[in-house]
Amino acid sequence: MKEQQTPAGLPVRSAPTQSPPDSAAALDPRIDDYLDHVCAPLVGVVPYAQRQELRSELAGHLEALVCGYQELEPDADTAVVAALRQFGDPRRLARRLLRQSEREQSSRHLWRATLTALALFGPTALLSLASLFWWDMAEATGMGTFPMGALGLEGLRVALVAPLVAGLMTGLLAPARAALGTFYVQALLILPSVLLSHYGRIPALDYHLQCGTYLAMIQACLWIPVGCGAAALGDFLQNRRMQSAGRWILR
Amino acid sequence: MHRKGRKPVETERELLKGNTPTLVLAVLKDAPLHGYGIAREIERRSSNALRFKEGTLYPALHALEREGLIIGAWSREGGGRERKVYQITPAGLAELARRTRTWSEFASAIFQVIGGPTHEGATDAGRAPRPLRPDPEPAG
Repeated sequence: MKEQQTPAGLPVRSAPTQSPPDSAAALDPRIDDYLDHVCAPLVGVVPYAQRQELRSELAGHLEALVCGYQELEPDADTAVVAALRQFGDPRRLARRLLRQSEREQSSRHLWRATLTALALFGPTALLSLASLFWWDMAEATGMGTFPMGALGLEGLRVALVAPLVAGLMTGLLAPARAALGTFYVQALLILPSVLLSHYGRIPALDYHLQCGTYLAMIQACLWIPVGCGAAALGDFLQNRRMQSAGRWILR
Repeated sequence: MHRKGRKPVETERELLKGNTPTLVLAVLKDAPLHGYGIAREIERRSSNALRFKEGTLYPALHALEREGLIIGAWSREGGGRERKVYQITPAGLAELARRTRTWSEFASAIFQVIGGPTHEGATDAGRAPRPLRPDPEPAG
């Protein structure tokens, strides 16, 4: 017996996704197979409920198309083949749906990555600024050595190490695009430091605060490359972990 | 339903693909329709000139729905099967107006270049082409 084929030249066989229970019995097996080929590549990217909804929608359209062809061509087999041909290559349709879904997810991921980076780098910047301010004040008040100066130096060390930790955490916590999200946040956080470097004065001491300038320089020269690099590393580690842990889990 | 005719060339296919959202919005402006109805209406309005693989309608429909330009709702029809019927939103109407304006301007500009219905020189088919630059002034 000759094996049945879809118009796209694909052999009729079952794919990983299941037909919805209400329409499985009514559908022609070739339509079912066509829908399997459309929906299977979306597994793991498009949620189950959305895939089922899409499947029902396409099935309704295909059924109507078959009915339309049957008005011209009474042979049911020919009508099904013509309808599937009219609908187009299932692999191409799946690719387009997949690309669209990934594009949408990509922008959503960027938002989440940016917010995560802001939640981590915002307090880090404030902490670093406070530390540098402390150090600056120690300089201004002539207590630049122990103990205030020592504390300030500790703060400087924090300012140097912090982006590494915050970036890595962003990469591990954000779903994707952590490096770009981190970059946006870093660019945003430089602004207050620059403003402070311009307007930060202690009138009583007639002293121009340097902490804003220091932090802006540290952010530009160190935080952006180190933070973004650490975020990319975290992202990579997170992906590796997901791949090894969830290889057999279909979302 | 027509099924025979000239196969669209790649340029036409790309042109149609890029303008599918506009066509969908234009069709939905008049009445809510499901995917099959949208495809038939585009065919009917274009006198079967605009034909495409109907599956490609769905990425466009879903993108428009996500952008809030159309809304889809499931409704049961006479035959018993549920169909997702799409309806244009006020944002969709505004977007359609914008796209229509852009398309008109673009088509007008293209016609001006290639010599179409809106171009004065469109009927001068047999005339020698004009030079791109004015002739240089004769010396002396």
